[in-house]
Amino acid sequence: MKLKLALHLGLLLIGFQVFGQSVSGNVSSNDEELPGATISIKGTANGAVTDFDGKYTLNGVTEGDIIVYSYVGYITQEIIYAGQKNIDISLEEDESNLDEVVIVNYGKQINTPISVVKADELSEFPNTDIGQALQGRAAGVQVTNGGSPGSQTQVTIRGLATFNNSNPLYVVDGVFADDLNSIDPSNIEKIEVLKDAASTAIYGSRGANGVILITTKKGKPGETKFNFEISTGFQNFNDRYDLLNTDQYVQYLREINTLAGRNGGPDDPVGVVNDNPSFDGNGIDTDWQDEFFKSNAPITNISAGVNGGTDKVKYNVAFSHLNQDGIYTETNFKRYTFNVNTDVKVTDFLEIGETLGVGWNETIFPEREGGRDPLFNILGSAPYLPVRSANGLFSGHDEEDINDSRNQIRIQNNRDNLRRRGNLLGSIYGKVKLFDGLTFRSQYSLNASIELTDNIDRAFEEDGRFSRNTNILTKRRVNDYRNIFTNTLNYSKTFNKHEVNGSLVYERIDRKIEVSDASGSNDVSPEIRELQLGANTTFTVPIEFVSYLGLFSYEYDNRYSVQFSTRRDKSSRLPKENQVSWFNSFSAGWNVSNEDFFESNVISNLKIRASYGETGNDTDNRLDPLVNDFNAAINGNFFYPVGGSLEPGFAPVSLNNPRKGWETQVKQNYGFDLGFLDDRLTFNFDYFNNDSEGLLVPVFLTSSTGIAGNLSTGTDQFRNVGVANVQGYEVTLGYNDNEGDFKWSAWANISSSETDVKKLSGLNDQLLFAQLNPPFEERLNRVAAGESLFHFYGFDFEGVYATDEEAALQLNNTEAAQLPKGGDARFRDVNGDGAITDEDRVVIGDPNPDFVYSFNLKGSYKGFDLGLLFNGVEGVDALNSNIFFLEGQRNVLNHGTEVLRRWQNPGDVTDVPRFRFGDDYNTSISSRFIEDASFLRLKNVTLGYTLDKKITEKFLKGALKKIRLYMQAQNLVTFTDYSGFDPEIAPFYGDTGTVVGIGIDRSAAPRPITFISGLQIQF
Amino acid sequence: MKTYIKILGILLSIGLIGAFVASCDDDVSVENKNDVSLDTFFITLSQIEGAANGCYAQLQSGGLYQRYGYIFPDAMSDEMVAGGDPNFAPFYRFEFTAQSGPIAQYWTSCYNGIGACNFVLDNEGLMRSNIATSDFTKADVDDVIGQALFLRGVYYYLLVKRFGDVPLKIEFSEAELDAPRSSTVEVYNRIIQDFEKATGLLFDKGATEEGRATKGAAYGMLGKVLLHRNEYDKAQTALAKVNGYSLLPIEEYEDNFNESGEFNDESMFEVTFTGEFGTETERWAQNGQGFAEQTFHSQEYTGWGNLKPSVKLDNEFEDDDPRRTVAYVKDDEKYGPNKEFTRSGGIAWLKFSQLYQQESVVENSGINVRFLRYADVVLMQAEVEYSLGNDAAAIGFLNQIRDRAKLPRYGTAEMDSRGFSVSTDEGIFKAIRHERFVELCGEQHRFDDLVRWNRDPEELAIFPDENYNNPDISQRRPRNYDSGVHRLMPIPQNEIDTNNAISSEDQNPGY
Repeated sequence: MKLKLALHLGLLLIGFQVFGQSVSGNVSSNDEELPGATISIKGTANGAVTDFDGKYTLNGVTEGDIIVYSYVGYITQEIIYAGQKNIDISLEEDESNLDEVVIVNYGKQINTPISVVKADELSEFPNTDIGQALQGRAAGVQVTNGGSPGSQTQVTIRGLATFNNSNPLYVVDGVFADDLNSIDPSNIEKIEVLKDAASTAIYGSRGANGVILITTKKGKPGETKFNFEISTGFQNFNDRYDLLNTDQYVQYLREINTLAGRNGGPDDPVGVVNDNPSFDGNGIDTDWQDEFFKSNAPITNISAGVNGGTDKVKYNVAFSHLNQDGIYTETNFKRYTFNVNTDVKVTDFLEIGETLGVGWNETIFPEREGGRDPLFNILGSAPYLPVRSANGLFSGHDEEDINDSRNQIRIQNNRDNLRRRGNLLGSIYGKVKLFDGLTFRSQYSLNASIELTDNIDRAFEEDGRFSRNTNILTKRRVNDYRNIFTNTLNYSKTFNKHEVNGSLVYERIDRKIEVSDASGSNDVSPEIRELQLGANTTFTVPIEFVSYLGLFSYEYDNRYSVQFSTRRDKSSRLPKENQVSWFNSFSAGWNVSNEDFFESNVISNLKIRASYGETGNDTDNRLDPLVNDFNAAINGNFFYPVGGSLEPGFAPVSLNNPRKGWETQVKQNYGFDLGFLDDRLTFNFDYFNNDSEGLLVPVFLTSSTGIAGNLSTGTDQFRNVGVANVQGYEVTLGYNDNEGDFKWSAWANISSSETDVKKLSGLNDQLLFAQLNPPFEERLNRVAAGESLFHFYGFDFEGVYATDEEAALQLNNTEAAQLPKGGDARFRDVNGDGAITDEDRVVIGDPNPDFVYSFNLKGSYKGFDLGLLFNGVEGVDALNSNIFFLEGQRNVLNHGTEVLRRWQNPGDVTDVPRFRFGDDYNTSISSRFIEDASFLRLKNVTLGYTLDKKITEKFLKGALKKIRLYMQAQNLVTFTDYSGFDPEIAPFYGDTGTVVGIGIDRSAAPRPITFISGLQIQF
Repeated sequence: MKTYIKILGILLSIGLIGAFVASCDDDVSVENKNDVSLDTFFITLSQIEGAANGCYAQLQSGGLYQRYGYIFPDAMSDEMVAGGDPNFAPFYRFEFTAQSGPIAQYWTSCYNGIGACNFVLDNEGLMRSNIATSDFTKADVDDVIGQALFLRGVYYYLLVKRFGDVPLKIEFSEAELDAPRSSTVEVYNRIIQDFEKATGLLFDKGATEEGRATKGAAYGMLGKVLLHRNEYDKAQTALAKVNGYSLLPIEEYEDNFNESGEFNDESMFEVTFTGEFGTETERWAQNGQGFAEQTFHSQEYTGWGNLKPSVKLDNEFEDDDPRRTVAYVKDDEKYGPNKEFTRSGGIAWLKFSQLYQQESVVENSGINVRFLRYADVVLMQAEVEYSLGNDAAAIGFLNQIRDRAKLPRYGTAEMDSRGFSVSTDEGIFKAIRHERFVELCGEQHRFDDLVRWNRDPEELAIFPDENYNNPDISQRRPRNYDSGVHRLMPIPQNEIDTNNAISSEDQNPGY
């Protein structure tokens, strides 16, 4: 069969070319053959294609002809034919091939700045998830990791443009996906980031936050290849907060005890020192931080794959397993992935295939009790408490300590939280060639996941006040499945210098999310892990979505190109009359360097492009039982016991909201690509300007509306109230020197974006997000017109009053309910009315960076390769909640050594306010908690060595093709002024797991310094 | 072979295109099957009863009697002292602000309750027109409407006591409209109107299920509000219509505060709890929704000692008052069903704790709140008569309470010698104050009583701890109480922020 086809092909070529000589050879790249590369003679229709071993024969060549060797993703080479019989060519990968991409489901996409991360970059070192793999590698993409292993990574493309879910759309082999933890990064062929107007607009309402296309590895015809990789390493984090030791804390307690019953002091004496004045901690000095941090937390990654096929059937099979411990004790993430991709050419007009990715992961997050983040307990616990008391029980504070910190080590022990998640991402497709250039492609995809969350909260006895003899079991099951049916009619044809491309697409998504919550308790045994008698609630959220898309492009002579697209989306999430919206785009490009008049020895490439596009959004993607929330609904779960039995109670849970409609965004992009010295040096620049209107916001109705919802603020309602603008630029600079033994490359990118909220029409002049309670009752991220998105808002902290008189001098408004005294925080009286009131609050910080940047250096000499990746964030503020625990002094907790210099006596001049029990004046949201969290980090250093081919071939009778060993250090050095553990602040997750805030340091696990060594084998 | 594959290919291709054509569907509408739609409601008895049940649910929320409904008035009174929990300190010390989350919760719970009531009341016409075609009767509808009116009155009562002027929302159809603060007088008028109407619609106790509002409860609450409005004649009339209730004998007195004695002859309206809950999410939701039938009262007060009986209260009790050992326990005193346990760990409330039947408390309590009990009605009657100048009648009512406690009557030499002579008006008023203080301690009456008697500046100026009456005045700890400010709590900031009809200038003074 194979032979026949080659013969046919050969005959065909001979038939065309009866004159001239014949040349044959081999096309490869980095010692790998390239099957399917195109060889042509410039200015003629004569050409050839390499076979599965990368070999070709080209006939009809005459001396002086220019032979062009090209392959998608590689730099095209031209050779002037000088009569050789044999020409072997090695093509170089094109690092700057940014302006053209084929979106497998929709058609061809041109004139767009696309950042591509390729397989070899991804496989350089083990990434635990795809978000991390992207970090620092693509201009305009900001990646914030969640800290603890397995937590969600936030990826923001070109700045935040919505108040809602800002996650980009992920498309894996044409299947829409949310959870990428089920994909092994080493099985990815390439990741393309679509970010500009035209390319995101073809995804219409789904593309507003940018699109990340992930293409997994497909089978390649030729010899079967096996890949095997193993890496293992250790993670450590050695920074600690400087806390009071036992002597200092006991002394502190004595001082606090003298305040008991007085202004600012606790209501009751501090029992531990009051009842026993000679208490000295009994020689115990527990370092709770050391107890909580795990040293040398292991990480291991194994992956294996088989790739191969014939011209008819191609396949790729892969498996991977990751096992990572967290640096917080008893946290862990495990992932298993399986991937099978197959393509079959049934006939010359029909191709069918499938992609299948199955993932399973298990996560153990840090345990929380009483709504407290773990580190809050770690910082607050008294150092005079041992982890375990002499009687073997876990220790704990008793009531008289007036310290309500929990023993976090006990919490880790008596709670077993486990989240397991299975994910299936699969598709089958058929592609029919109808006529010359006209194809019909139909793809049916399934994205199904099940998430099992178990919280086993076992009964425990402790040597303190929090013992409990009940076992509480809580389980949540979320089933999320969606079918995506995509049909594309594509026409693609080249007439001389005219290239025409057009697609018509119909796409339908049917999705259903089913949630079941169950819990129960027993006093019998902590060994019972399942519910015998419990309560259960369920709800189902159906979502349907239909789209039509038209996409047309025209290119002339590789010089001028235009593209137009229009898309109609219809969503079930909106009221009937607002269900439909249209999204259009237009783009144009001019390849100046291909013009005849363009003559330059220096500039090898110059392309100018511009695009306009519309995108939108129909939801904030929250998992919420309110289906059709634009219709009033009544719910029966207002239970009340009547006549001795529990009866359902019905009450309204939402009001009619017929105005709910689409968020729309108009994007513009202007940019150019420049290549110098045969594209060795490349420079890309893009400017973008995105205007959003009708941003959907869950507007809090007045509490007096009387509809149940949030316990403090009542119900909310989606309204299209926001107007915002994002503008910014991206610059990428690259240099390649691939000649000689010493090869090196360097590239750097910098991106800046600024989000400006223009208007918040409607009920509110401000919106508040992200509640971290304890310790703060107020939400921490604010949105208001004329200000940056999610800024921090509060008082301007100016220091501490030295005396009562000093306070009274500034704040003399006798109408005020309470006036601060000496030792209290001095906030700026902005309106000068002699009292600190809400009107004195101002913008105190902006968690959006001025710019993010990264640079990458790579070099290789003989078998050695070295890579360095730096990434940085500049001009960003964070709200450091740890400051509350280090110096807040609202309760008799342990604190940082900062409190040793707190205000104690009139006249003390300090920056740490006095102890003030139970009152949050001094700990009001203020600039006291805001810090600059800019940083520059050496994210990655990798040193590798590939065994010389001659040596490799000596093993196993030449079966081995490649052996590479490498060592790597992650997060080795961080330059920052930030006082918290890690300036890379993990995203702030809400109750449903979505990101609801940014720049709030709530002590998520910091990024550890990781040392990894690995081995890659190919045979 | 090749031809065969080709034919297969053609068939597959046709199938592919066929599947596409067949599945082209533009309809995306989905149905909400999690909730009930308005179109099909109020047509069965279980639905209209369910709607009435929904009106009660907010009483169990975190903002009300799961937590803050008792914490606010108790912490602000002089019958309790706060323990170690910093969350109680702002209320105990009068240091709360408009940003307070608990205050917002209390406010929101009340309005959610009002919203549920208005939803029922707005559909009265629909229910009445459905009588002919459904399984419910006119009496059923009357009862449902009566309950909604009664509960709306209760929620507005809870609001007006804490906040004074509040937005008056009485139409569900206008739920979304921003309402300005209505004057306290208007709010009270609406409360009185609602209770009056409810008296004509509700069933008597015994004729309806335990837990539902009754005619007697409506008269009791009507009398209470009229008394607080100084409309003594009307109050006298309303309270006189409370019948069918009696004071329990002192041996059964503790049934007013425990789980086994719920809905006894003295009890007129209770907020019902069972101690049960569904999922953990529901248990902590605190918004009145979900299966969460537990209150944290017992754990907060008695378990963790966050609010404890004050020395001032302890001093108020006469030494031989048997109600004292039912109300709270002190160190080394006995407690439990057979007095087999000995208290250590300091003074603690027995009222509304499980210590009447076991050694320690449980976190999720099922003990009902006694929102209104007959002893309160009797004491209100005493106060009404006193206010109308009927001293003898007033003393008569007071002595009903004394008789039940098997204590000396007012007007006797014994009581005169204890400093409670009732020969003067002031003496009678003092007796009323004393009796309300001890009889109703720990039941959220004291702070509101002090305010309406104008005695709050005096009684709340000093923390009610062991030094409250220390002869050395410098040892007394002054409390940050300003009657010009702290009689009312601030309107929650989020209401001001979102309600266009209320601005910062409309905030209560001092906040």
